[in-house]
Amino acid sequence: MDLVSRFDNLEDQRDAYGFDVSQIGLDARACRRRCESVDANYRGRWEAAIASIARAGDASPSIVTHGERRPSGDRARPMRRISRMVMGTRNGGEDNQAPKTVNGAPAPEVSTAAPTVAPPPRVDKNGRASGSFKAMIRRGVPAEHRPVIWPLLARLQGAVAHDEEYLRSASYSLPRDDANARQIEMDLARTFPGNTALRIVHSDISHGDDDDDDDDAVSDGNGDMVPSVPTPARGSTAHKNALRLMLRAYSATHPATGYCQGMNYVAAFLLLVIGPERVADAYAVFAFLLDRVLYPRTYDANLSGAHVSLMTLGALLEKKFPRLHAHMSRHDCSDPSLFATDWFLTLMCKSLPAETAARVWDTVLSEGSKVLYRASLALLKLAEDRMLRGDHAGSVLEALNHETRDCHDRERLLTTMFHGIGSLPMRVVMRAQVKSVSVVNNQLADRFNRRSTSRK
Amino acid sequence: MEGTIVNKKLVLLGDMGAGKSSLVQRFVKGNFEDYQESTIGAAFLTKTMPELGLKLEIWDTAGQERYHSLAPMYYRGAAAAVIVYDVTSPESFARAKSWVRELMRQGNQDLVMALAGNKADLAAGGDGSERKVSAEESQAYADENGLLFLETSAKTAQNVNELFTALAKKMPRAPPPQQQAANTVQLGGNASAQGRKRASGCC
Repeated sequence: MDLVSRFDNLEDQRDAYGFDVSQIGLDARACRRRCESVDANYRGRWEAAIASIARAGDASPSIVTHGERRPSGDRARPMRRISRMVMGTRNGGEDNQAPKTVNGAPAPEVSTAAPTVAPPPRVDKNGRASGSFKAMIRRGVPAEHRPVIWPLLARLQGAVAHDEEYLRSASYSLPRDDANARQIEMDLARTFPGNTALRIVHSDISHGDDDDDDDDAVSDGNGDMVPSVPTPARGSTAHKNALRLMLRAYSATHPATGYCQGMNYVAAFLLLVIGPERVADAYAVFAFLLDRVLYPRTYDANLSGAHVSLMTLGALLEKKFPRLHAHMSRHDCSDPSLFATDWFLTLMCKSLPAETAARVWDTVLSEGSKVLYRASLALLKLAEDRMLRGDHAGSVLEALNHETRDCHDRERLLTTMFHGIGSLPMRVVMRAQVKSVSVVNNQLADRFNRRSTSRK
Repeated sequence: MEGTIVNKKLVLLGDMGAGKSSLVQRFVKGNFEDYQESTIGAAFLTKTMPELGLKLEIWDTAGQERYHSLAPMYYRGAAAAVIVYDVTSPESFARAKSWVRELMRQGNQDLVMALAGNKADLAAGGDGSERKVSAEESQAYADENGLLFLETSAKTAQNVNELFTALAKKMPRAPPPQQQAANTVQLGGNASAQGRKRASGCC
């Protein structure tokens, strides 16, 4: 399926995801074109890989199954098949232990620092892409194949798949007066409102008062009148309904977490990439990202997991770019909660241009949350020169904002992420996380105490 | 520091959906969207007011309750705060009061605060039946606590520039002595007893 064909009124004004790009500058346009031509170079390999999965039959592109589906014992197989196809290698052994030479087809030229002889393509014990397959994903999954590859990557790592029926019953199970459900309704209209697929087009503006919250009250499906939500218009209902379904189902099945703003963007972005007609696939990836990739409790009542991620980023920033960190500290803006909150709470999909965000998500889905730190550090590095020229908090952070918002050159970002910031061993990240946990817990407890004393 | 332009930090706080982002957008960009993106964490914008020799660094914060834990980072060192509520929502007014209390506890003596009753266009139309918080009640509360008070509408632009301009004029005019505004933790010296007690502990 062609992503582009989903949006009928596609012009130069909109990117392939339906976001407004009419305001971007000439440089950014040139970047986009250049990146698009790079992407096109690799399209053929992916086509072959996808065709091979389809032929194999046992790894249907859709992971929608009835009920739950455990990751099967042969979960590595489709991966190997993809990789083998792509690499042009023939390896009879299932375990890839045979001496591996790149025979026949040359190894694809991966970006700069990749090995010249590709290692055996495979997924590791956690189901994560490794070797040349990992490299292939780093180079970018073509947009039209993401609806297949993203759910596949999640499933290989044990993501649980449910069918749409399951999502519906979960959604219906929310209590009538559920606060999360009310908030979800309110946010449906406030999630990427400028996007072609998600915006509200008033089919009925006879009231002449379209900010008016009350005369557009809508039933949330169980008789509960929910204020503040104008009736979704034609054309945007498929995405809106799928978004509502995903958020309600997640909230219902995760009562401790419920609904937190930020999730709406993650779910909506998945729908833009995967398509509302495959809502169950989108949901599987959604739940995988929230439950397995992001730091635990990222969306909980006081966002404690997000605080941990932010503080960890602060520690990594200080370690990797001491000069920038010192500069930011001097201007009292080195705390990542000032600039990176949405990086973690929306996995950058609200911060970066859509295709750039999708490229980051390709790697997040294949390599895990560490990539988010890499992406964060890469953005800081790319903005470093301009940030260092800033002489107060505002101009320093503005430089970073601009870098992020205008990061249309995804090749440059990805190259910086993986080759521009040096090594980032998981143990370093984990050590920083462990340190952050106790600090965050103390701070949150302290603040809670102060708030409750002041309420007396 | 260029010329006479002084940077000042301004923060917007208030309940979800009260219209913080819409107020900022109206003030900074001069337009209004029926559907404003929900803010994650905080959005950061700047607006230069050359006639006042000011550049406002505006922190527009997320309103959902669970984002509260991030707020201290955004309001620390602020020279001004706008606390926004929705005139059609008593809950949002209660939330506004709790923000006022929290800011007062911070002990920043120089912080200039304004209370903004937003969505005044909804209350003004017809018989005003949608209004749930009266202007008198808010005015009384504001007077009691030494706040500026205006009813605003991001949609019609009513009182939006007035609000920010009034705040800007009320800010201490002299540039802060060596960045004191930026460094919350006021070490000795000018810190009031109250200030010292509450200054730290942000993350």
